[in-house]
This record gives sequence, structure tokens and C-alpha cells, in this order.
Amino acid sequence: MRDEIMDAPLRDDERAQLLAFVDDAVPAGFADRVVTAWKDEAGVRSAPAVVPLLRRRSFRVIVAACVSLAAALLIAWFSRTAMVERSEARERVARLAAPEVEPPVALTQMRAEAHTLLAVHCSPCHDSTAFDAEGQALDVFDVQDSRWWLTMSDRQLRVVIDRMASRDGMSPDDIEGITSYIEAELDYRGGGPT
Amino acid sequence: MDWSTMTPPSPHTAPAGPAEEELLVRAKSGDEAACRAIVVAHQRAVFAQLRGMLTPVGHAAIVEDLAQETFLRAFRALHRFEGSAGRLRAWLVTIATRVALNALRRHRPRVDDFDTVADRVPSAVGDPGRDGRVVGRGIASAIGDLPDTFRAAFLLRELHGLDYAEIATTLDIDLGTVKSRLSRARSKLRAALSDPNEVNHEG
Repeated sequence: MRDEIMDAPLRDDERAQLLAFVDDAVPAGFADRVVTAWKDEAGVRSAPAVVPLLRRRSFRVIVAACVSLAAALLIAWFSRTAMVERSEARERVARLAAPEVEPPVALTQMRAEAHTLLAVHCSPCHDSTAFDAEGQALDVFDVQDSRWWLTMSDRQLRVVIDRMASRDGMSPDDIEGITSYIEAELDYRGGGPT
Repeated sequence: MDWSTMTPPSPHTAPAGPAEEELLVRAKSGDEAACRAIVVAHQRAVFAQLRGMLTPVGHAAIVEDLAQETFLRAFRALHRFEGSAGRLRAWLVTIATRVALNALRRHRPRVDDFDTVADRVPSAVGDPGRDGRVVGRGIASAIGDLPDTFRAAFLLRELHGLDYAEIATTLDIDLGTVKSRLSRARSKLRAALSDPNEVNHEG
């Protein structure tokens, strides 16, 4: 019996008191404000498509996600580059510190020929005696250094092939010569003492 | 239909004349005057639902903003509304309820301004001798203690006449749970109305 009373809908007087609690005057001009806002929004909707697209929350979320992903990839790339550079620096230090071992005669000759080409095509940036030498370029190699190849990492040696191939004045024989030298140097590094 | 009628409104059977149907058609086609007329016709019901949802938990300040958001959402979706004009009010208070629930998920209850809100409650209807502020506090306490979803269910049922199944579907809650929680809400409200101070102390 008690449950039935409790389950019964509110009586009119009870509902009236509930209404007195929730029903109050609507702020003046509310309808006008709604219609104005709706007109503004409708105006935006009829504008060029990019505007409503930018106003959509889902679009903004996707853009934010893409930006975050790009930032994460950029950070990862920089981190990896820095790691590679640190690794190459360690390799270079190790090579420079290693005792000099007599290389094969053929390689010595190829180094000399390559040096001639590099001195012609890579100066003044890689020439420490030139006024307009570049510090970063000299860090890679310096044609004035008697052991100029040692400062280059394997990756930097491979880059030389592409760089030289794109230079004006390099004949096919020159390109083939520098390519052969690089391959021989890398082979020597891989099999010979470091 | 007068929204604040003493008997619960029934959105299923609410009569809507040709004028209301025509108004709906015009609003769907973007007629500003028709949109304004719809706002004027239903704003009290929407405000009441939002006040009932938000005032007891200290968020009376955002009622107007959410009422505007309710109508804007409705206008955006009006072309998809397939009901008759008589169903428009139920649809609007349903949207208002969802807007309020979303807002409550974002905002923690602000108990600190509860007293200020309850003090604005007008004098009780039907018993002129009763202190309206005390009754207001009792009602606010009674429905403010309910979880948001069940406060929504209670208001949809008692203020707007939605049936249990429709409330369960709208709020995505179990039908049996709706009934039991409505029973609890009524019980608390009756206690608040009969002895506001007692409920106030409990709440």
C-alpha cells in the first residue's frame, strides 16, 4: 500500500510546488538572442566550406592530433639524427686515435686521386686555408688534412658520391673513380683495422 | 497548451493545430520568424528542465547559456525532426536534458552557491503561509541529492509527461531502474514538501 502511494504520480499541489521551484521568468530578449545566434551560425554555414570545417570540433581534434604526431615524428627524427651524429663522432675519434696501419697500395693511390678531385671540386668550403671555408664542412673533412678521409663517417663517405656526381666539370671517369675509391675505403674499413 | 498546467503534459497526445504544424514546416525551411515563435512557445519548458537539472547542484548561472545551446542544437537538427509539432516540446526538453547532463559531466557541483540559488525560489504555491525559501531548499535538496540521470528522469516524467519507456531510451538507462528511482525521488520530494526542514537536515 505504501509503495503504491510512493509510485503514484505527484498530486497537483505537489507538482505546483515543484513548478514553483523550476518555473521562473525567462530572461528578457532570450528568443531574440537565440535567433540572432542562429542567424550568425547560419551565415557561417553558408560561407566558404573551410570556415565551418575549422569550426567543427572533430576537425580541430584531427588537426591537433596531426600536429602532435608531426611534432612527435620531428622530435624522434632529431633525436635519431643526434644519436647518429654522436655515434659517428665516436667512430671518428676511434679512427683518428687508432695506430696508422699501412693500407693496400691500390687504396693509397685511389685516395690520392680522390683527393685531387675533392681539392678541385670541394674547395673552398672544405679547405681550411681558404677565407670562405665553412666550419661545418671542415668538420666533415679538410683537404689540407693529410688523413682527410678519417674524419668522414661511412654515411658521409657515401654522400660524397652523390655530391661529386652532381658537380659541374666531373667527367664520367671522375665519377667512376670517386665511386670506386669510396667503395674500396668502405671495404677497407669493414675488413681492415679501425 | 500551457506548459505549466497542473496536470502533467502529455507530449504524445499534445494537440497541435494546423498553425503549429505550419510553423514547424516554416522553421525547417529556415524562416526566422517561425524559429523565434518556436523559441517563445517552448522556452519556459526548456528553462524549467534546465533549472531543475542545474539549480539544485549550484549551476543556475549556466542555465541561460545551455537554454540557448539547446535551441541552437534543435535548429541544426530540425530538418531531421520527423515528429509532429505536438512532439516538439518533448524533443526540446530531451535535448535540454542531454545538454545539461553533458555540462554536469564537465562541471563539478558547486555547493558553495547552493544557498544563494535556493533563496531565490519563489513562495510556495498552494500554501501561502509556508516559508517559500524553506520549501525551495527542501525541493532543491530532495532532487539535488539524486544522481544527475535520475533527476533528469524525474523532471522529464513529472514536468513534461514523458513515459517511462521513452525516458529509459532517452537517458539510456534500464526501465526498471527508472521506475524505482522515480519512486525514490517522489518520496523525497513528498518528504520535502511535508517537512522541508527535516529533509534539509538530511541532505
